[in-house]
Amino acid sequence: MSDSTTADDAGRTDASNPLVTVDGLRTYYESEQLVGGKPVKAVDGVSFEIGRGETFGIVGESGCGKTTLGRSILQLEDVDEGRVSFDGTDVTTLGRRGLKEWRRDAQMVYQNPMSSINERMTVGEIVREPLEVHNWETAASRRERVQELLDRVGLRPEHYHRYPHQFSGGQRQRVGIARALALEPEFIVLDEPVSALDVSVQAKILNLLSDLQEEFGLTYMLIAHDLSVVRHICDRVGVMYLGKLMEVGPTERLFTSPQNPYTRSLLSAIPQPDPDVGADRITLRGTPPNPRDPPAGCVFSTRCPFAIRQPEHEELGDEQWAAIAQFRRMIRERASSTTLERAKQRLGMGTQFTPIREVAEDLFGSLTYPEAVEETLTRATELVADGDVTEARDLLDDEFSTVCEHESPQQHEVGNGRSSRCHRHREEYREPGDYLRDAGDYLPE
Amino acid sequence: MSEEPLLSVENLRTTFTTDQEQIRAVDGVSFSVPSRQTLGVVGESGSGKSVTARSILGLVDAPGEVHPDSEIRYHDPTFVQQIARKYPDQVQWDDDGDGFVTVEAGSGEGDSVTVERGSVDLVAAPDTVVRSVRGSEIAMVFQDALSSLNPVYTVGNQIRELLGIHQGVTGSEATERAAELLESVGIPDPKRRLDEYPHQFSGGMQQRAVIALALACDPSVLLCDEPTTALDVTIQAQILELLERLQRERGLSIVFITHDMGVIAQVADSVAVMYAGEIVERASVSRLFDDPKHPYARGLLQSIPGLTGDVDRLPTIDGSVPTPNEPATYCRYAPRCPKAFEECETIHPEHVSVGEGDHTAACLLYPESAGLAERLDRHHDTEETHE
Ligand code: SF4
Ligand code: SF4
Repeated sequence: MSDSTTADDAGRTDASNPLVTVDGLRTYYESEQLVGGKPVKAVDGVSFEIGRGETFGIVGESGCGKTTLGRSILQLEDVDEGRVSFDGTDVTTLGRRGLKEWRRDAQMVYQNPMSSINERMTVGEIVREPLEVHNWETAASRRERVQELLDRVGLRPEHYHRYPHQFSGGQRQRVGIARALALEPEFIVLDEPVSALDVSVQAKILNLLSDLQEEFGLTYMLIAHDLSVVRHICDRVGVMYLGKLMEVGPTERLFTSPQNPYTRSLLSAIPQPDPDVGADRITLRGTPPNPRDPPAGCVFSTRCPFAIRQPEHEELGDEQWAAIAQFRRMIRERASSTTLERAKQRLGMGTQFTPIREVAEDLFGSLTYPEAVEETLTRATELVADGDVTEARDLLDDEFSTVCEHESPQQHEVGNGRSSRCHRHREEYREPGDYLRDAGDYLPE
Repeated sequence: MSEEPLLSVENLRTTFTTDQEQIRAVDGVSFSVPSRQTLGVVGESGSGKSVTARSILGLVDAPGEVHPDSEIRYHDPTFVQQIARKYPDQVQWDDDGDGFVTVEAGSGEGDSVTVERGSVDLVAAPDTVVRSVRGSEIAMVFQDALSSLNPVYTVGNQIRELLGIHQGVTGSEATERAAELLESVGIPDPKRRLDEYPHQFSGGMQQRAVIALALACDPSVLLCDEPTTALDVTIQAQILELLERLQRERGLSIVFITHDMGVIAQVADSVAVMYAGEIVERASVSRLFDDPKHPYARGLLQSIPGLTGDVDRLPTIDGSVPTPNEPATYCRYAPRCPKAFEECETIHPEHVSVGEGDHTAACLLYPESAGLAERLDRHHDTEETHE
């Protein structure tokens, strides 16, 4: 990796001495299919650092690998490659004893704190359990410690003997936090800690987390899909998509001037609590690809509104381009269907595809294209109609695919402690921001 | 454009009675949904917003019960005429009588009556009428798409079945229509998707399929209960855009229920803020966000993280939403309200105008121009109507 140094730079914080360093982390899940199954690349080469006392956020949509990343850092998942250093020690190499010791320092708070807990335990027992497991001091001091913790997270002494199901969601999360704090950890991974709660309760839990951080000098990694929560409490943020860290940077800068096309699209999708905004929103089409079968180049290339085009297609309107992208997605999907499926299809059995000429008419009928493009689209349509789906796919690839579809982008330094994975940061292309501005000229009226 | 509502709810009360208590999940709620507009209903869990929607469609299960004095009126003239002809002895002209069909403008009588303006009261109407409204006139989209789809039938079969039952469309025509519906909700390659099972769809595609099902019988009103809450933000954006387009194309009226102020800001024309079974503020969307009046609405807007900019601590609302288990003879927000004063504990606030348009709030601080005594009097006076 020629730019491999950029990854390190991206993670540097003002506190020049990071508590957690993640370097080239990969966690793959084996496929459930027996034959020909590919592994799911849940976390695929992720690097960043978390400074002491910092709150580092990881955001992304479901399936992007953010929870697996959190679990991998805490060694709750088997990591395939890469290093996680904690205070200078590589914890991926720790043995069982070493891990158990380390777990005192590194804890996790879950979205549903009671999911991993025996329902028949009282609140006191739940908070006390880690103390028992680690043989914390004497029995009497354990009890005292639990009372102290309950008080610290805003619960009352009499809650000790209650059961979690008698509690509200907010109170249950307080119990989860007390349990995570029991062994005086330095580092806590917060996995969607407030996403199951109502807004007014969320605010209280977030305030509690800030107070605790200050009081105990905690370092947090917050995993969340709710960007407003992340913006509120994180010092720096990493944005994940399909196993890759697309952008990392200080929170306010990342939110006010996102550099990566995915970050831009994600931020623009958040409904703003202000009825006057929303006109120039970027709406992404399609859904994230199956992580079992990620795109060959940039993971975002199948949906990216900023994707680099071949020079002769630069001036195609957005709608025209989107219709082509949709057409290509469909043909790709059909090309990847099994031979059996296709055979059945040709015999008029089983799954029924919409006749391709009908699809083409729906997609392109009301749009105008330059002659050359039109010709390619017609040829591809005819090929599919004749049953040559792969050939059609290749023809379209030749005509339309670019570096975004061939090559996975490197992490680029983009100034102010930020880094972004996108080919558009390379000199020969226009920066995403400039591209967006210029693209305005090509938009159809 | 007429300001006639298509759907109106008057003093809706839905209670759940158990051995120990009676929970007033919806307690005297009134609103109306104008034709082709979106009413946003916002509130936290326990506010009664979902029960409100279920009550409209008669989907409240025992021990829940819609109080017989509540009114849920559907105003579509074609439908009203159809029902008026079917139930001639239930027709009342203007408000004169106690039939469930009200005709305000029209002519003729019996089974040749014509209706230009009127309404059918779904609370008083028999089950068969409510059933004929459900799906065909007013349809619902729930948060959990999978629970609205049958896992053992293909998506195509589920739509075809609905078309058969409600519209008598079958065979290849039904297949054709089903594919059109999937296409209209933005599902690519619709013919192929018809043969797939719900679990083969992604979350966003499932919600699109549910919307297609809801549209199958060409309803005029869509009740959406947190339809995007379970979805990722980029998929949510797609669904919101879809609903906006469908509203434009089909002239739908939408009731959009959510806890998310951001979503409300984006989709709603007017908003009702619910708290503990009651609506506490009603306003156009711009008025609500520019100048919220009720202390609860203000608190709710302030506690959204990220909105208040770079503050260390979020303003919070102390306490939690109470369970409304007794008649409201006081302000239910009083225990948490930073502005509460003595009388808030003994007088139930009524809706009063707090600004231009139909901006109203139920709070003893209003109308602002009046002195305390006058204000209390005003809220006190209307007390009898509330039991
Ligand atoms: S590399 Fe290409 S596809 Fe990926 S984010 Fe950048 S412009 Fe988009
Ligand atoms: S009536 Fe009183 S308690 Fe209720 S919202 Fe108004 S000021 Fe607050």
